[in-house]
Amino acid sequence: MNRDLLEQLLMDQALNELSPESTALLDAYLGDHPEMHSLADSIRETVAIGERAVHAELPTRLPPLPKEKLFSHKRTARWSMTARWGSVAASLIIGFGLGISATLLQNKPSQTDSDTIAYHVQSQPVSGGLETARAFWSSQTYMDRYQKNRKDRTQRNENTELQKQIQQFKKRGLL
Amino acid sequence: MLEALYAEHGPHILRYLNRIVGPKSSEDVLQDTFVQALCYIERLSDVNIPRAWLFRVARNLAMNVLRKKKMATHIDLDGLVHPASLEDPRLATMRRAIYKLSDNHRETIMLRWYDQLSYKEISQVQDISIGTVRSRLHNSLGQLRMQMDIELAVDP
Repeated sequence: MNRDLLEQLLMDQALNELSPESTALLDAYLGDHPEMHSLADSIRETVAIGERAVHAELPTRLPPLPKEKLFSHKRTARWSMTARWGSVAASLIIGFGLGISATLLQNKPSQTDSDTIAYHVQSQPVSGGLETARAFWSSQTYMDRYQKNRKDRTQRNENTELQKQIQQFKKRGLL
Repeated sequence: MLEALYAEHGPHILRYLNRIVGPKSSEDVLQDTFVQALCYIERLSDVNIPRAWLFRVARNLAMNVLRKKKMATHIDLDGLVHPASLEDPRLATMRRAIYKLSDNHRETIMLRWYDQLSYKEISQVQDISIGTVRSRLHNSLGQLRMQMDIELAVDP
């Protein structure tokens, strides 16, 4: 057994934290190694002095158990528990209500369907009325507008190119 | 049940609190400890070592008091001296050596010697492993032995 391990065991023994079996083994070891007796004595003495140095008697007078404080605290605790559960229940009810409202709103038919738009378009001073509105939202109209936009963009690009060429000719003095 | 706990552990916890927060606040903290115990009385029956649990509650409350008052731990080891022990100079040397330990080590060794808690109880009070308690106690004892040797060699 090395010295560190022996010291640790001796400290545990001095602090009454060594099992009876380990204590018996340690005593047997010390019996075979009398040169370690001084170490064991030194540790035991340190512990004994330490215990005496900080020894204090238990207080003889104990304040009475504060029954009023205990019961008022218990009542408060019960109320705070009720309040806590109440707030949880209120939150659940509000959440549930909001959820139901959201679901109902989702299932309600949209107010921006084609008929409504058609109605609004019809009310404008535009000729064609309902047919015009329906035609406005049709895929054919969309495609037509898309193609027209594309054509315009191409034309605009071509014009830009043409203008660049004209400017170059002007710079060279050809125009 | 609470009254039985109070009668059994109250004096030990009061002594512990006297050391931590001083005699002025210790009684209030003791009462608060048992008020807390009442709140968790159902859970207390599941606790392995009620004494360690009560010490831990008392320790937390005492730390709150110290934090509020911005005080350091009240350790009045000189107040522990009783006339008979004044005759042995080694006790004063030991007290000085204990003062020099780090806060954690001093608290651990005081829980062992002053409050006479076991390794397991100390581990629950300080919320550390039993191995750490053991190691702190061994380190503290080593330091105390060294300090005692030095001081007694200088001033035998």
